[in-house]
Amino acid sequence: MEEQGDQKTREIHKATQDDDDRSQPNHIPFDLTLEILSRLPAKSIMRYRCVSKLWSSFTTLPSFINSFTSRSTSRPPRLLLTFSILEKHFVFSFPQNQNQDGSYPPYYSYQITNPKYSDRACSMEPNLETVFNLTTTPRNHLG
Amino acid sequence: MENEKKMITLKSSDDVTFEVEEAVVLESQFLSHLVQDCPAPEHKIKEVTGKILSKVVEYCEKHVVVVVDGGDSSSSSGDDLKKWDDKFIKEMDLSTVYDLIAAANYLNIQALLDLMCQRVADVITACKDHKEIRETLGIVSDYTAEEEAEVLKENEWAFD
Repeated sequence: MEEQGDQKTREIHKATQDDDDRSQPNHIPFDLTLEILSRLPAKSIMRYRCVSKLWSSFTTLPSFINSFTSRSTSRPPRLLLTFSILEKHFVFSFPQNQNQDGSYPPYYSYQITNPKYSDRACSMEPNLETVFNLTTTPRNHLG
Repeated sequence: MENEKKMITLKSSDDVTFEVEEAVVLESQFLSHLVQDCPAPEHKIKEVTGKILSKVVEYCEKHVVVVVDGGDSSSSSGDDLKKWDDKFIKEMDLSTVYDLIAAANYLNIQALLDLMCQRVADVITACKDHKEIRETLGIVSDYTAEEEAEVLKENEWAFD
């Protein structure tokens, strides 16, 4: 299954190569473009998905995701939970941030009223790695 | 014993030669294997031009000095090296950076490859939107207008 994504990207890459490969930075080989892009912060990754189909296809490559996550190991993993009850959408983030005195803030729930974000829980979450993981894998709606 | 420094000559694709100490060459995984397997005094590197090889040599010479000096020289601390690296990449245009990425990859010099890839990543990060990324890196979009509108909508939040 994972290989399918790889193959698709190669096909796109091959197709663009025939056309002077102009959807790529000049003279940068495919694997080195991945090296560069895996160093970007998540928000920039979302921007570069808009640059070209080829670049967009990179974000779903298993090798790219592994490379990206291994560079982000300094930050603890997080889980973002979103669910809908009666057309209201809620977002929770785990683990919670710890206060300086060692206590934890109370659980917050965000009720997203803006329909623009109703299917995009990640926009509420400040931890960008989670955003990236969520947006590059199929979203599972709970509840 | 330490004064006996073995010198090796590297020749670029356009026949520019560089005489460097063996320790400098060992910064490159590719060259260190080459030197071990084939103990000739001169090695031609067909994939790298003189302009780029001079940068590679400059980088490796600087970095090997720091490693050889170890911790006993205050002038070669990690901070200084970082400053040197920053200056080294700031003076370069993007096309040189691309060439150096290719050279560092070919010669297998991981630290140089990291430095250069990070430089391009920083350039991309500094771009305010996808259009600026395209302009800066000389990329032509392969999206149709409809596809682009759709992908923009999907990633709208990243442009705040």
